[in-house]
Amino acid sequence: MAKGFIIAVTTVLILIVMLLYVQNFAAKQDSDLSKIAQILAAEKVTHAWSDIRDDINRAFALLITKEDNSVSFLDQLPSEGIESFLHHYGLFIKNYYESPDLDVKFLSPEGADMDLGTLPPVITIMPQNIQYYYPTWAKRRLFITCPIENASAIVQVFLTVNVSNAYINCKPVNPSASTDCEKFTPNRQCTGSTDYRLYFNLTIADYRGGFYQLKQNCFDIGGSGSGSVDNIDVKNVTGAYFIKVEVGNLPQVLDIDLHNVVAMTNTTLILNTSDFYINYLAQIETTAVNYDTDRVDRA
Amino acid sequence: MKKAFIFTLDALFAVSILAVFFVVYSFEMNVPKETYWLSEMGNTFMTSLDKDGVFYQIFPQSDANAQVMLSSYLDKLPRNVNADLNISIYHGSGDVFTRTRSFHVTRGTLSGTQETHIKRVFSDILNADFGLAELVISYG
Repeated sequence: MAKGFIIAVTTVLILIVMLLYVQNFAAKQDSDLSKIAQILAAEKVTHAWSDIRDDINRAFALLITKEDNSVSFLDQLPSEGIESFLHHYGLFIKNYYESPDLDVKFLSPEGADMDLGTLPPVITIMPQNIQYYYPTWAKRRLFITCPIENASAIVQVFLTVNVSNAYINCKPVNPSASTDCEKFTPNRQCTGSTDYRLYFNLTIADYRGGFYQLKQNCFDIGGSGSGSVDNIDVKNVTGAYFIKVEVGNLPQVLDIDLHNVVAMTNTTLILNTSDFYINYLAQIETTAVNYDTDRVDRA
Repeated sequence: MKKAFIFTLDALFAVSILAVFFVVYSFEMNVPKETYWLSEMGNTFMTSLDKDGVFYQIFPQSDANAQVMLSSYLDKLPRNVNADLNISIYHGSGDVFTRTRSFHVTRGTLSGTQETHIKRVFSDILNADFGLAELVISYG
């Protein structure tokens, strides 16, 4: 009797342990299932974000790199059809790419919902409020501006223009040419009392290997009216062009007008601090609708 | 002694059923992990095609060449995976999109269960053409 009782109790105990184990196993599996679903949702959001970002970056043809106290803009100018592309792209994403479980939004740098087609071509370095912008998405002209009260923030500018459809048509690249490349000197050289000074380095290279280089010059950019202007004479088989480079006057720091020249520009700003951030053109927000998972980041 | 013996068999039978249930349940619970690996594989495959510019290459190619190219890439998936790749090209004009081309390449037959769906978008900026690539994969 006692032996039978012990066997019965043991069996019941085993049963209880088994039940508890199964319950625990089920809870763990449910938790794993939930985690895997969360991971899949997060991956979907990240892949979607990266997918869209790549397309938009390709359209902008602009790469921005921040390193310590410098920021570089590698830019392809001019451009064609960006505005129309952005408008259509935003619509296409809404109509064909979004799904019931994936939501995509385009946000302004301030975080407001926006139509991609209305994206302004302005990138701002904050808090100095230095702007790198084009008047239109055609990108035929490039400006850099800085409020006069923050003028000391920009210590130096390096501008390299790699011309791909024309060659430099002035001395010393071509000694027989009538125009002298080396004429670019500041209207006002810096003196000891200059309040707003900019150290500017310009290199223009053409597809034939010719180049024009302005050695570092200190420009007084604090005056009124137009700044120091140089027109670098370039030509190709179909005609003569010129690249206008104007330095100053504040709030304008730089104005580059390429006219009909196709070029890759590399503009590096050296600031007096590394304490700055970049307000990109837009942010992309991708959200997995059924999960608390999203990614918001710059375009 | 006899009653206890009968009770024990009864209980042991219940425990056995529970054990079988436990084994079956634990096998069933492996399904999400398979889905996870399938999703990983599909995303890696589609991302590499997108970033390597394979999708973009469709725009200038003839339909026949694009079809051959896509089939050759689909064949690079592991042998135990079946796949169905649909690509549609749309042209945007005004606010309207018109489908101008489409491609469908398959490998094997999808299982109908444990399928993973992955989408990618690509575009031809100058011509306002937009592509949508949709992959469905399952284990064979």
